[in-house]
Amino acid sequence: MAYLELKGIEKFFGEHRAIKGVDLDIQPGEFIVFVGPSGCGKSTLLRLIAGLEHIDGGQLNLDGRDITHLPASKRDLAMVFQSYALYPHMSVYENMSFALKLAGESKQVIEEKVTRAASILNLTDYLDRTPGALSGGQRQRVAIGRAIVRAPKVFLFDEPLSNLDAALRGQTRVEIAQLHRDLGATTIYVTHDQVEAMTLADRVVVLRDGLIEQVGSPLDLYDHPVNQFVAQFIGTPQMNVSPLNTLPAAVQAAAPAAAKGGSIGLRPEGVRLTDVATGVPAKVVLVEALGAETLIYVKTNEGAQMVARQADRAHVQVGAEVGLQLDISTAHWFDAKGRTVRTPN
Amino acid sequence: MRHQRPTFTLSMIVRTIIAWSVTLLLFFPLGWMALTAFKTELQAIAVPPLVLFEPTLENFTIVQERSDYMHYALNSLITSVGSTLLGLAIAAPAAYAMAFYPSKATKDVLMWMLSTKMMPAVGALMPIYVLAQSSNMLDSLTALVIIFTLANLPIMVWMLYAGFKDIPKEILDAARMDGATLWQEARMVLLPLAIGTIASTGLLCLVLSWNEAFWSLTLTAAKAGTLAALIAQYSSPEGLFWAKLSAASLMAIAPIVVFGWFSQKQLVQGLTFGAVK
Repeated sequence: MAYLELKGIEKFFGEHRAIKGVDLDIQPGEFIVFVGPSGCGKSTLLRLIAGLEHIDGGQLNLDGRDITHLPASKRDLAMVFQSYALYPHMSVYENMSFALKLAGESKQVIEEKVTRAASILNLTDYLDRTPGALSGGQRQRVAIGRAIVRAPKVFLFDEPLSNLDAALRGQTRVEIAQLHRDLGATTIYVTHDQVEAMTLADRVVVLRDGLIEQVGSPLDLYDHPVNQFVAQFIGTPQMNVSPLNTLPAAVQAAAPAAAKGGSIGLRPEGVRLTDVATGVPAKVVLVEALGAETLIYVKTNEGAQMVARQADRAHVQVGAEVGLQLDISTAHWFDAKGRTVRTPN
Repeated sequence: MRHQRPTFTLSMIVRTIIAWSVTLLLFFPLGWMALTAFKTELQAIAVPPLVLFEPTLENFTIVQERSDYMHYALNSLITSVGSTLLGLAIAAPAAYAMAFYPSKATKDVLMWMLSTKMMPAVGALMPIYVLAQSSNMLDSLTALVIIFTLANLPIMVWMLYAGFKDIPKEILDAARMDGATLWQEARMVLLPLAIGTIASTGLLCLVLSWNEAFWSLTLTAAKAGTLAALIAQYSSPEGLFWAKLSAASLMAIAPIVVFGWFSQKQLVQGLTFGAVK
């Protein structure tokens, strides 16, 4: 049986049905990432699990116990907020020990646990400071520390890195992954950043408009998206999706029957530049040289826009006429409604 | 930049002069009253008015002898402290609900509360007098505490609401996640963060209740009269006794002025924190 079970979870804000019946089973020790565009309901779903919002329909079970209508304070979950939400009037030590103090732990136990968490997070020298005297990264650590001292049943992270600058974000991401490996705690992590989703998750849950689009391992979502939305949401730059009728007849002929009137999806690495004579004719619109790789934005004569990714430096100029070699063997096919059409192979 | 500097200085000078003029204008009646309190009745009505004179304390002695100052002061203290505590007990939960769990009607409720302050008190005089009379509460401290509380509630809710709104809700959510009950959340997180707001709201309510005259005069007599009633004694039947009236007024406002003077530091002191980016 699953550790955390969501059965038909629903949430209404007035007339608006924000979460439209979500089913999900989470196994102990799993690192689950909720990802989706803003407004898709991922944070709301997390707050429903946390108990900070009232669940309007469905059932939530944790470790075999129905916690659907249990108050947040009784669920034994810990949450790291986007804004850190530290207690500004308390020192770092008091912030981290607050939950233990409420739980009635003895002074000795509290000191032992806080000291250990602080040393894991390199916060030992800052225990006497107030949050106001810390940097953004340090505050983030305190917020994480506040969660781990309790050894809760599930860790909930609500976009914890979005207030950090790019360098610190990358570093903290690695630390969170490491922490999860060391503690082995069940974790639900909300983000709109799909790089975080891909790097941290055991399984990614892609949400749109209050519904789950797909659940799977990061590479599973990348290789086998169930529809155009997931295909384009996972991967940077996003998958090239072009209506079939904007491509040459040769490409159209390769499409499976069910994809007629639909579109073709090609990852940027599946698009290569060749001579004008041999490939699909196109014009270079923009070249982004990132050093390790180069992204070349092109537009075919039929009007399809694509991005090609290549590992070597490009020598094409904006406006140059090029030919495109499309790797049909790695292509994804979508029907007129955007659903993936499975090919026999 | 060089061209702008003289105009900046000029506007500074003008603003300083205006600020001082307004301050002096507002302070003058109070200052004059304080001076008059130390004059004899003759000196008080002298034309041209005396600025330099030999101060006397006889007015204060007479006021204390003729009417029991402490009795009125105690009534003022009980009604203002009582109505402040009762008001905070009602306004704080109301403001908490509206600030952290707003609904579509929250804005309207707030406006409605404020709109009650726009009605002249006299409009409610008859019903309230009759209510007080029929419930045997005329000339009672209880009636005053209730009236003062109700009169100040809209302002208290507004002030607390504005203060609570500045506290990020996520901090309260975090406390809940840490296992705090509603009461623990209010006591250990909200109260320390909002103490400045709560203190200034309480002080304002204290001052308003202390200074309240309309209901004190209409609903009380000798028993529950507040300092406002004491002052009023020196203005009517036997004619105006400026020096004694001033002495009584000075005695009436002195406690609240001293109190305000000492607490202003705490009220102005801003709680600047770094909890939320």
